[in-house]
Amino acid sequence: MIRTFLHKLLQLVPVLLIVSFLTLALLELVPGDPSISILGADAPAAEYERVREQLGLDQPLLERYGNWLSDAVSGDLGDSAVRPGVSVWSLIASRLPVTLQITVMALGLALLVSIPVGVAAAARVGSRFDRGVGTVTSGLISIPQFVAGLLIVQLFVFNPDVPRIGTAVLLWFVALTLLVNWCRRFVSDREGGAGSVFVGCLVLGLGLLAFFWWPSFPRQGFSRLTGDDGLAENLRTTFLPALTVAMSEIAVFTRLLRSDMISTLQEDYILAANAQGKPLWRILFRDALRPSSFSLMTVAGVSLGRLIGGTVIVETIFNLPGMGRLIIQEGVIVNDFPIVQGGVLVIALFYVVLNALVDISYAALDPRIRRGVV
Amino acid sequence: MKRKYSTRRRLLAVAVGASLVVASCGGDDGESSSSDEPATSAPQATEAPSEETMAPAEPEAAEGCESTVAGSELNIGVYVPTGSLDPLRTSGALVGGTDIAAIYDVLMRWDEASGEWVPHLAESLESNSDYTEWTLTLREGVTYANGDPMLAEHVLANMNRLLGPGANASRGLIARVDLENSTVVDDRTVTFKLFSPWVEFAYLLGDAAGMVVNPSLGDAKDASDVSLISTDPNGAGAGPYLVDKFAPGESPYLVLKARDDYWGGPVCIETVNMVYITSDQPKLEALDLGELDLAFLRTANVIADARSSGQYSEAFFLQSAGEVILINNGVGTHTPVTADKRFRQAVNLAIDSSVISERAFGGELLESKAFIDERSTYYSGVAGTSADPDAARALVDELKAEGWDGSIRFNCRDTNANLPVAIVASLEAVGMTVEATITDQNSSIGAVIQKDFDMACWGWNISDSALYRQIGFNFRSDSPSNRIGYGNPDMDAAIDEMFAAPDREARTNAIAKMSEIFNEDVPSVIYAAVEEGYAISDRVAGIVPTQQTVLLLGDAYLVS
Repeated sequence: MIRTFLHKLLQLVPVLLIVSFLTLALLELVPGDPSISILGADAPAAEYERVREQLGLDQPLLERYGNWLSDAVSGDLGDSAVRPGVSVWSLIASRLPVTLQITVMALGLALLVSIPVGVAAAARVGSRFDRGVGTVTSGLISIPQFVAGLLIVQLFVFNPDVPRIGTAVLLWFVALTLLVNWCRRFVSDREGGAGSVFVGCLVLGLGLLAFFWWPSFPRQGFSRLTGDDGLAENLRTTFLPALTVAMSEIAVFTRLLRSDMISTLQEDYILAANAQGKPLWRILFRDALRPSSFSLMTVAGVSLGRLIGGTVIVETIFNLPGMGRLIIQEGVIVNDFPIVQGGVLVIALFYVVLNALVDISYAALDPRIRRGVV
Repeated sequence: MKRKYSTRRRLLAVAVGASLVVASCGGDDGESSSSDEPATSAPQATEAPSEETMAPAEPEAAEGCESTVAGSELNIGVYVPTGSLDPLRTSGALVGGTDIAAIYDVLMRWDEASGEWVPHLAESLESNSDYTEWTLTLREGVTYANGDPMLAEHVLANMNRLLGPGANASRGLIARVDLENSTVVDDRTVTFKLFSPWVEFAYLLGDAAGMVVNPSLGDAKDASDVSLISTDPNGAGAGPYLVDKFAPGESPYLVLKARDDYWGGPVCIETVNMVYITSDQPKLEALDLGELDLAFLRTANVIADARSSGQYSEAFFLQSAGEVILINNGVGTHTPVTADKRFRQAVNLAIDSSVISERAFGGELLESKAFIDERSTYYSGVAGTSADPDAARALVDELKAEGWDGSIRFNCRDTNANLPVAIVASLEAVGMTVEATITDQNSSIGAVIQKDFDMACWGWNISDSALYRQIGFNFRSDSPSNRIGYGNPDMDAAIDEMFAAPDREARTNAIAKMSEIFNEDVPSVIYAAVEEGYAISDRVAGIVPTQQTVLLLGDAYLVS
């Protein structure tokens, strides 16, 4: 496993070289002049030339790339062209945690919802529930992220009672279902079901919490985990952006897992487990879920890498100081090429490392791969 | 099976019914039931105001304060965040003007009510009879944030500093000052000599030249030869605030903390947060929710929404010639026909402000083809040229008969997708073939700066407080900021007349002459004025607007 991981990491070098060179080459094609971003529109013509010289924009492309590469190898990604004195590393160091947090929260939320829903839909294939899940996920996939973000703002920020009451109703419904099921088992003198009581009470409590202590979400802004306001404020400012990102991921993961689960549930060993009288939840979550998770793990890993560089829309809607805004608004739009190169390099690094980790996770999930049988 | 579904429906009904019962016994109408304390960086959401909302009753409050109110915060949504806190490197009032003024203060400020410049950090500014000599006296006891006293010689040194390498656009106006022969009379008094009469010399002292940098810190640079005060100006300014955090790209990107030794007395609001939100609609929403106390707005329909809510006071500034189709008068690379006045007249006649307003601005544009808009206090009665597509077509046909193929290039920014479409449609309706290039704002500006354009979307933004700067920059034939190569000795003479005009009436007469020359020459086509500035929450008072959307925060306080 370690050898596999190291082998994957070695792939980093050519990937980063290609990505960094292509980024610089593509930036040459992007219209605009960083000297205008620095000086504005009213400076004398000679000033623009002076600034362009200072930034090395009069040098050939290969020479500029070589200079940048020699510094980058020693860990120096240079300073912002538009904001001299501000190092690219410091900008990335302050923005990357924001994007990472949103991305990880979004994926966590997506997995939290998609796994039980996907499993339940697969167990009830063809039912009204399954059809409903299919319709909802199709809808979620169809909504562009910027529309989803604006809808979420309208709902959670300007009409908070709707999600508050809706969440409470849903949780109470689930709680009541669990409790009624336990009651029926109790009345018919069947064993077990204590877990249902516990979970039912828990969910009931969550419903009450949601109803009476629903937080007010801000329209924009971000409070850092390390800031004075602590974790609660941080979660309050990151929940809606994470939910926006999670919407389409929930849909994709649910449909993927449902498809794989349906195939797995056709297997003979599932039939055997059923015949042995194992509880349904045990068959679904212990026997069937694990072998059905490979596609989900792959897609989740790829999504993580994709989202690190793809959250600019959400960051713009919610005014978050993340990597997306750094690269697009503070990099590409104002032609600050050191920021773009440094940012793209870091994202490429994450991509390769994450892919390596996804490959390794297969061995953890499937003992056949671990033992080299397959 | 039926029993199972029936049970679930009953359970769902029970859950919904329970929630309705609890909701009816719950909190007040429309208020969040959260028990969270309002956050300092993202205050609790409140109900969005509707048009029917009554304007709130005037709160009872004492003006000002006896000392800084601990925990008080002001959140300002800006237009564009500044990348530097050095006045030398700022590129205009819209970009960090309020931020810089809060740190360095200004010697003079524009009083919108009277339409005159008044002393702020200065005690007085007096001129000789022909406005070629100005004597500035500083207030007593003014100190920089590090305790160093501000001296008259620092004001002269600051002007010299602004002539050094850097971004500042005041350089063109500072060139009118004979710095070599200007003298320091005593610690508080300096006499400026000018090369030519300038009645509103005070403008210069209300802009970057009036934001005096402590010379002991102004020249300090880091290893990359970047001025240290670009990111850490504490001690370099005499303004009411110190910089607590400067992190461009973050939210807030600038956090200011009140000084306790400000010359103007106690600074009431302890913390000022500068926040950048990319567009006006979310800024207004943040203002509605209480997440912002001031929001800079520039979009006509959003300003209209803010006004119609009746919730806010305002500090909006009219900018004549805010929306312009800039035409190359014959510099750099251009289609030869643009140098012909008949072509520019044809464009002027083809453009109908009301059509562009409807198609691109939701009908909310401040339609105006006048050099100085009729809503300006300097409106001279000289209106712009009304649209006449038939006359435009005749001119185009005349030019085509002389060899022009009818094609013309047009650059525009991509911030309003409908704007270039509306303009191109108007021009093609009179027989032109327009090759439109829609790009980001920087590229659009770049084409003009590099003098490789025929026509471009632009704005001259001639506000009442910055007449001299904007008109002098853009229309004097020898100005390096005259991008279009326009030159007319009559216009230069009228500009000089404006600079020397002893009173408002003489100024307006000079502007009338300029307007007539402009209408005759048509160096470019104006189609709208622009309004921009701040919508201000009723939670805040004491904000003092000065020139070109800059706000002075030293006297601001929170009404409670």
